Amino acid sequence: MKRLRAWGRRLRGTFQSGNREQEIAEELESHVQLHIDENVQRGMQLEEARRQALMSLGVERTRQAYHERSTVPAIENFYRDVRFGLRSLLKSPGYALIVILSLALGIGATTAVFSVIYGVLLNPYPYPAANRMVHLLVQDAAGNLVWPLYSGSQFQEVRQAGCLEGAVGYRNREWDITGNDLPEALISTDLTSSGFEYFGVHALLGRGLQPSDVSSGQVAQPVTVLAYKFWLRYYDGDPHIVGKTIQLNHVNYTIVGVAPPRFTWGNGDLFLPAVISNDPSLKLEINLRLKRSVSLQSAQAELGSLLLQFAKQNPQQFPRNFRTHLTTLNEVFEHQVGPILYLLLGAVGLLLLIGCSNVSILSMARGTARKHELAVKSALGANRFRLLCSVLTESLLLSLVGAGAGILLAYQLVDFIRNRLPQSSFPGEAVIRINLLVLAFCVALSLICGILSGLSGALEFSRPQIDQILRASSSKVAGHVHGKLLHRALIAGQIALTVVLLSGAGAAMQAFMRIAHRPLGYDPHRVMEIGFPIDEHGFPNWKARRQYLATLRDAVASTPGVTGAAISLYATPPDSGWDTSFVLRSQPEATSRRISAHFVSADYFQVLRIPLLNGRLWDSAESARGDQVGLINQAMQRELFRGQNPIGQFIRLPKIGYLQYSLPAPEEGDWIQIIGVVGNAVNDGLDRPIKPAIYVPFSTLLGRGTQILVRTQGQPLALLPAIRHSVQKLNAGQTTEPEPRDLEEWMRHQPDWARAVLIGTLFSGFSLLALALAAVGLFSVVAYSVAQRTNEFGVRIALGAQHGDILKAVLGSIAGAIGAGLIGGWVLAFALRRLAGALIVMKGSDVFVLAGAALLLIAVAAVACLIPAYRATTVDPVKALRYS
Amino acid sequence: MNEKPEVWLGTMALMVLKTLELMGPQHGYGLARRIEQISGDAFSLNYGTIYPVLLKLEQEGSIESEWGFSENNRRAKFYKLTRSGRKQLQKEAQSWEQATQILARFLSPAKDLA
Repeated sequence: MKRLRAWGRRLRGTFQSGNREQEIAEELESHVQLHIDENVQRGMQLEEARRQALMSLGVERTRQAYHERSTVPAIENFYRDVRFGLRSLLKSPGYALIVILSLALGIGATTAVFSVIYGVLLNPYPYPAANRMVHLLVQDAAGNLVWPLYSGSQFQEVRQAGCLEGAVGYRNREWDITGNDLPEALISTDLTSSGFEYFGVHALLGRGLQPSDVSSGQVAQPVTVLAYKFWLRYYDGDPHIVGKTIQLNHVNYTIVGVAPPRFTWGNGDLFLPAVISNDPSLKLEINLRLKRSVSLQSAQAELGSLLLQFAKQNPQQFPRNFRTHLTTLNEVFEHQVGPILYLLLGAVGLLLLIGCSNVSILSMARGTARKHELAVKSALGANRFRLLCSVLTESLLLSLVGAGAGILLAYQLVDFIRNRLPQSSFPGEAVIRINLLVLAFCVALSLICGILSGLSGALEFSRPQIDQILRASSSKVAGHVHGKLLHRALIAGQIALTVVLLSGAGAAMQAFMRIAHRPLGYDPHRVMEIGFPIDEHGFPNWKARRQYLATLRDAVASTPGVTGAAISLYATPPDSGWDTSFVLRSQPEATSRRISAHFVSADYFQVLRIPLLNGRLWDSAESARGDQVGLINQAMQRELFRGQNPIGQFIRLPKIGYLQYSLPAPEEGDWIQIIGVVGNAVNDGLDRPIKPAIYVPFSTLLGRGTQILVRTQGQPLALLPAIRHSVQKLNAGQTTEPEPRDLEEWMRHQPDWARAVLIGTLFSGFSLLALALAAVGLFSVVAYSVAQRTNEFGVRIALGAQHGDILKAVLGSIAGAIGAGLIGGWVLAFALRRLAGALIVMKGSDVFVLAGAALLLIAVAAVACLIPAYRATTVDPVKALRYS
Repeated sequence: MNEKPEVWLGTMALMVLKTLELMGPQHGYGLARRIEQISGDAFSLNYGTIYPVLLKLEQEGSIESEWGFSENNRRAKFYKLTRSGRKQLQKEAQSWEQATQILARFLSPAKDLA
């Protein structure tokens, strides 16, 4: 208790010295006076009395002891070290800045990228036991994943499987919000009764869906749970929404709850209870949770035999020769974005390494620079511990500031990456934010690096041979051998890592260039896509809807400024068409190949400037009748007809059941006659080869809405009000979908494009930073060795050495390290290229990339070395020698 | 004189407390002189060492200080025991006595063993 109190007072004393010094001075003064009085009384002379009094007190020592007792010396010393450290860092701001930057970049970049990986790949789902949740999918003979749809009774059977802990069936449906002025389309996610329980979701407001929402298992109650985003968007986050109603397709649904933000299963706007019935139109996707003890293989075997039974009863449900494939939740995304992120992690890891080695190099060089100062301190009586403390304080200061800057950078960078990750490439449930654990790890790493590098210097210099250092700068005659070796090793390592990063960046840039300069086969310039939803009750039969769509197109086309308009049902490039199987009349044997079907009007080719190579387009009469005619692209001609003339051949597509409320033409499912061949246009994303495609008249399959592609004279989106106006003149109730797309702009939002831009930007950014850091490291090593050898150069010049000789002496010592680093880097890059190539499909002239990276590096290294080396040649021998 | 300050710091605190108990309020110089006198030539005190001890005792709350005037009318800082100081003195004096007794038995064991 007493001790505690005493410490408390000392601590207080440390921070508020107040008039303490004054008081002890007075007390000692009075002590001396009293002593003098007594000495005089005993008969001493005044002078002698004073001398004796002062001697027996020892004023300075007492004052010092008193001071140490009244404060906590460790804290005081620390405070002094910090102040001294700050002052000396401010005197060499370049050093401080580079160390801080090196650490900040390493910490920031590594933390950010790892946080993204964690959010997207490692822990994206808020569901219990998410790692045991699988989609019930199949693979076709070619290994492509197919998402089959299951009937209600099939779901019931699957649910009974012994390997399962739970199962949920779900589907999406399209709806109109009615009862308001403007109808608005939305999508529901229908979940089988125990869905919310299965996902372990607790409603944000109200309650989730529950089994009692389907009364007696057959009739769904008109209740709904809103998805979080929809609740925010449509109801402005109204906190009193529970209990209100929403009208869907003219039926009132009671809103019983709002789902939490991360529950986005099915990506619907709201959740409805799904009835499991024998209704043939009920098509469910199925997600399963495996029992803990069950392996993926055994579950696959059990469910596989079940699916084989299903396939016997209903052969069309699955592709031929399929294999059951249980797909974990993240498998899809892992495939899409995983390789990039791991690649980036590798890159930032390298950056962190380069940063840390830079810090070591710099602080070693600095330690040498401070040798003299430490020797002086030591000569003045500082003990080894105090010297260590003062050196360590400085490096810790730098590490801390670096870590702080790194944390800031990490937050910025996470935002940067999050905003540029292709939207579809990570699950909606994922939350990308800084991972505190990783942040702590990186900060700790940088602190350790700071301490270690500080320590290595401090240990060496905390027992300096004071006399030697003070008497003559003996170290300037020739550098220590072991310091040089370590420096060279670090430099070589840095250069190797930089080569790896640079060649990675080169390859990433190449990949981007390939996408950016790929011939598209269509002209997106000044074309936009506008979506038009169509009221299902307005045009209930095929003929009326076809006519309406045609007049709608005409209304758009007649707007001033529009040079062309075409109906295109989900046929907007660069990722267009329905993926479908087919049968050729001339080759009736079954094929597992798939083509992409486009439902368009004949103007489509003119609007997108896709050339007709052979045959003819369909005419308006054929379109009006919904005739079964079609055009194929070159890829299809090459792959399916092997260059023979396809015109006049027949092809059949299976019924396309994706569209709800779609109205097929009278002759749907009949043989389609091929009447022409058009040029290849990119249709499967920017980075993949063009798929075989068939174009048929839009009138053969009418959906709930359509898109119209519009070519304009000027900026396409500027014409939007005019187009809306002419459409409203035709039909006042006709709305447009909220987000029209400029095709050129749209291309930049493609996942392939966004991914390539992201990798390209980050990789080049990181590698340029690495280059800069390595250059700085190199510069400081050379500058340091020049400073060390000033005398030597003085002597050499005095003895007649020419500039060239001096340059050779300086560069010779470092050239080996650079060369070793380059070779090491090449070897590493080649080894990693196989890995990276497998990850992000790096093709092309890698050797050129590597050579380019090496050249760039050599150029930078040369500059970094030559500046200090040149300084060595300007050494004035007289000064240099006198200096010692 | 100042070879083992830590050891003296421990014992000196006790000496200071005891002296204060005997003499009543006293200034640093007086205390130093008094301790020197009592200990005789056994340890010639460096007067300065008393001040950190006084500070420590004051920080622990065993003594308090106040400025006043000495017999010959010099301004001086006077220290006096507090209640907790008195208690501490008792406790420490006791434990010292015990310790010295035990030590004495070790150092001249003949009597007890005989």
